[in-house]
Amino acid sequence: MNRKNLIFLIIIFLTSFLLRIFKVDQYPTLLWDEAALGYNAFSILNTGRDEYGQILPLIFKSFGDYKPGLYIYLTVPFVALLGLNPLSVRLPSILLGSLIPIIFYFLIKEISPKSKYLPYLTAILITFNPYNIHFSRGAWETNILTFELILASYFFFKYLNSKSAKFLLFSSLVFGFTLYTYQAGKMISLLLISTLFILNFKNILKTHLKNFSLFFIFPLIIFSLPIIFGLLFNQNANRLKVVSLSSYPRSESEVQTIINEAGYTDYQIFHNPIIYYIQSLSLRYFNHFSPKFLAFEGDWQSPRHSAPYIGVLLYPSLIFLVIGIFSTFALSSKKERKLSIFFLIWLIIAPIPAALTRDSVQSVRSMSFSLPLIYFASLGITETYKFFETKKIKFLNFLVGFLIFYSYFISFFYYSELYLNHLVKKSPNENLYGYKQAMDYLITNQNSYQNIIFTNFYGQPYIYYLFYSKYSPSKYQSQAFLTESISGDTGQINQIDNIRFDSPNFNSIKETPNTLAIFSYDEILRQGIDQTPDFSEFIPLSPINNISTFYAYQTN
Amino acid sequence: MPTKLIKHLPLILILFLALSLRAFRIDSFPPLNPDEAAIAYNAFSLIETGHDEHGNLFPIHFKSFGDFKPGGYFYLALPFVKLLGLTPLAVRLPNLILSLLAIFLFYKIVFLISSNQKLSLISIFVLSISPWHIHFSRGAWESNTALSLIIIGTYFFLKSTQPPKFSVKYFTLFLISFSSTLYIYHSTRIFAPLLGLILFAIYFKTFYKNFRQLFLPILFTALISVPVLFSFINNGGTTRFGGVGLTADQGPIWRANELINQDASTDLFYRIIHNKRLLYTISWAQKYFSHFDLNFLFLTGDEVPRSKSPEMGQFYLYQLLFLLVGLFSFIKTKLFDLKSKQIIIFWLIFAPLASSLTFQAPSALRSLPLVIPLSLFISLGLYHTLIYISRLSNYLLKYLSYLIVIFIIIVSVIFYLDSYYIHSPARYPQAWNYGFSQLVNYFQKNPTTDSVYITNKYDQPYIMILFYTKYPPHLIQKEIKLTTPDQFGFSTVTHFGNYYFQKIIWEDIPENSVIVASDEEIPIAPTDIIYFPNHQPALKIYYKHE
Repeated sequence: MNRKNLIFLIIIFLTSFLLRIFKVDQYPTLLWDEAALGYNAFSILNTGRDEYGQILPLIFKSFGDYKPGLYIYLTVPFVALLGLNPLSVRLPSILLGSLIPIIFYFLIKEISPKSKYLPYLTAILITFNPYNIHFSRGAWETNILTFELILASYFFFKYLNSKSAKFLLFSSLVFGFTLYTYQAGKMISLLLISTLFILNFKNILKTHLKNFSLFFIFPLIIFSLPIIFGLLFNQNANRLKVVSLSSYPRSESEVQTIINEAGYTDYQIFHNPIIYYIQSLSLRYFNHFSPKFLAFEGDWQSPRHSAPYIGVLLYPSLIFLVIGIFSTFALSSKKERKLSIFFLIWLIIAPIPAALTRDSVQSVRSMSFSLPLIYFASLGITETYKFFETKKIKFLNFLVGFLIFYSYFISFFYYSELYLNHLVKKSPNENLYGYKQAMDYLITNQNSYQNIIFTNFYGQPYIYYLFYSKYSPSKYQSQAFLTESISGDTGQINQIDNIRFDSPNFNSIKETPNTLAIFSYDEILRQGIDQTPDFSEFIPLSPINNISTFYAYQTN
Repeated sequence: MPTKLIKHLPLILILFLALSLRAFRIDSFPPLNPDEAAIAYNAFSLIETGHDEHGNLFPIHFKSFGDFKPGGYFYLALPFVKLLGLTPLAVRLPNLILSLLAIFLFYKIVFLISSNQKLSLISIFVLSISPWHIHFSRGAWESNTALSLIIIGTYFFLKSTQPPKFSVKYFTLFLISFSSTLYIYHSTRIFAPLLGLILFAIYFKTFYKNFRQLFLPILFTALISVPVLFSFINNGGTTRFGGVGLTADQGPIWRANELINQDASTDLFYRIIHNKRLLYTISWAQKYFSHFDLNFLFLTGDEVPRSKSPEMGQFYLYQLLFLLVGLFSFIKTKLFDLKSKQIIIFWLIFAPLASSLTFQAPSALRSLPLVIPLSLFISLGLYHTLIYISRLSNYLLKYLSYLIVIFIIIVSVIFYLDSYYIHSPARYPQAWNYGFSQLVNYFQKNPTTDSVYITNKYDQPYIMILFYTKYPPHLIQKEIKLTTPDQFGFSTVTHFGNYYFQKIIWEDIPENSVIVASDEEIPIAPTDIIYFPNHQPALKIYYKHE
């Protein structure tokens, strides 16, 4: 590699890193899962056990959602170095997220070394892409998965080119790690491995069969043994609930409407559960390709998953994406065509794990989708640029380049404003704003009260208490008790020492002496407290917009 | 059989298929909607008196519900109403005939640009069975009439530029077809000029050589296009746009306010970055691109009940596969030359423009021209797939593949017909003003001189009554009085003859009158009930006597 490229990569890495680490210790707000990952890493670091006292588990029980352990182990060194705080929990994601552009660059160079603009442009575009920035700025396991998938693909192609078995082993190991990174990882890894095999089928069968069984398949089998074991003997360990044919049928009333309209035979032929399943699956799958998701609204199901009023890509990418995709089979370079076909298949398989679940769109589960999206946007730009380059008019050439750059610049600026100023303010509840302020208040005043009630309205308050008070893990392990939820969702912790996590009832709290109660805004509204004179005694702990997400109330 | 007939048999069969899919039960299904009734009744009024229902002498824009409908279709329907009387068939025939002509010329166009008969046949087959095209061919949809004329015009254009010699005759026909669409449909006023200009630009070299011959036809076209412009401006065309245009959607203004509030600062910077013009631009872009949403195209379709069939997209789901094959092969294919490819791409880009400038998107009705390029891509994909299958060496595989393709196509068409003829009337009965023809029948059997109070729950009831009673136009012209327009710019008529159209409140209605209500609360039992196809009551008839 020459020096120019090295400097380019260093600049890209630093830019990525700065964009991802900027204010990340305070913004966005720390989510439950992040607090849990951090506290479990803290617990492992201090005692070698997780919060429930399990010794070095592969899968962590946490809220009963059984988190794969890789992220927690990656966090341990950062907690050791920087202590337990949002920055140390997020650093693994920030670092690996900043490496994605670099690996992407190498992957393209590996498959199509002669591409002139493509590797650079892809690296730049993914550095500034909202989808990737968003999930790199938080402890999102899916971001690590995305990193692993591109790294493993890179090693795979590196092996095919260099024939050096160590790269095959690396690829296998990284694919193996994906099984312990994120629940949805199992399916996308399997799909991607199949893709790599099918694309290089002849090549592998002819010359590499022995290497493949020994250095790829065998290690993968070793890796998956614990997972298979877990699947067989511990049903809880499989969190990713895939929608099967029968799990979300057409509603009873809808079925009745159809039958009333045209009779039962018509229902059985044209509107039967299989056809409905195909329709609803396609609907969720197509949603990931909708302009609404890609450019205009992002993950509209959860405000936590993307900045408001903007998609997962910058606006110009939407157009270049289309140009890129449909120029795939018209590319003159055979190697670029091969590369594009690889990403085309990736583009097709990436939303499958998300489409198989109940959410109508799911940017977290489909995050590796960002890679083919960015690849094709870059391809679209290079093809557009090349198209004007052949026209041999210098000025036109410059103008096109300038317009593309300028439109991206404006879009990125607009995205940054929405992300930094509106993500949390638009939906403070969903972004769990105020847990830090409320917990800080609780921790300072904890010893002055006999009874403390903390609202469980926003979910999992206990983990924030553990996290912000840096509660002694060994002390907590002895009292950890998770009340499982009836609906099979995540469970909850009801009590730590003198703190009860519950829905506070104002009328009974008013009568109990020496009590500190932390209310959520919604509970105050529901109990009608804001209409009574007592409301003046409530201390707003986390003001945002014109309200506060948490309020404190105390009796003597 | 003569060889010529055999040669053209596939074409004739496909055209016959197109005709049967479009003409079956067209005189009664779907029931007449208020816009169609307005066209027919105004044509009837012109025949009888030379004035429209509001007493305007042969207008270019018809005032109708205060929405100033472009007049072209009214005049197309006029001879049919004269011949066949005031019937649904009469008002629908012009669109049906032009649709079929357009399908035939679409065949000629594809053949002209590809010189491939198989592809041309596949293309019109795909268009013939297209749910999008069928839906809007079956009714007096001006949008589809305008599209038909665009297709006809495009054919003339391509014919005029065919080597060896530039033909002024065809070029003039092209200009006339395109400018006539300006008289027919609002949205085409954006699409037709844009497409015309692009066609001109693409074939600039041909015209450059013959520019002397162009002078007269262009002058003529300009002359026949000017009246529509003046009429548009004079007849509140701009207020109509205010009612359904992009700015009728208040969302971007609310969003601007919300974002500025969240920034908690009135700095110039924040007011610039969240100004409503920017947000309207983004909203426009979102509307534009929503026409390419796969769910709109292949699964759910338009949201407006009158423009859709339940559980159907604008295309069949299986066609997505062929669309992709078509698009992927489009750049490299040698079936079309560069100029034709440019026409197809610009057609695709321009088609949703007018629709994206309205408050409601995606709209299958306003973006109807999209059906042409997309059908062409699907046909290209189907063509390549069939060629691929025909080259399979394994006979079993080959014929099995053919069988699967044919099976899927047939089943999908049946699925659509089931949805269109059986589910649609049962699911969206309100959208089609069911019940009014039966109501008028009822009053013919049970005549009354009392005042009749008819609910305004359904769209524009007055025009339905005018149409079905064949109310004398010279009477309505004196009686008609439009209400003040609603937020979308539509008005209605609340009274003529002994008919009153209003919200039914039992206490407010004088004694000795007949009441026609939908589901309003009435203290007495109805004398008669007219039912929707789904057996729910549509109209209930009461007699209020002392």
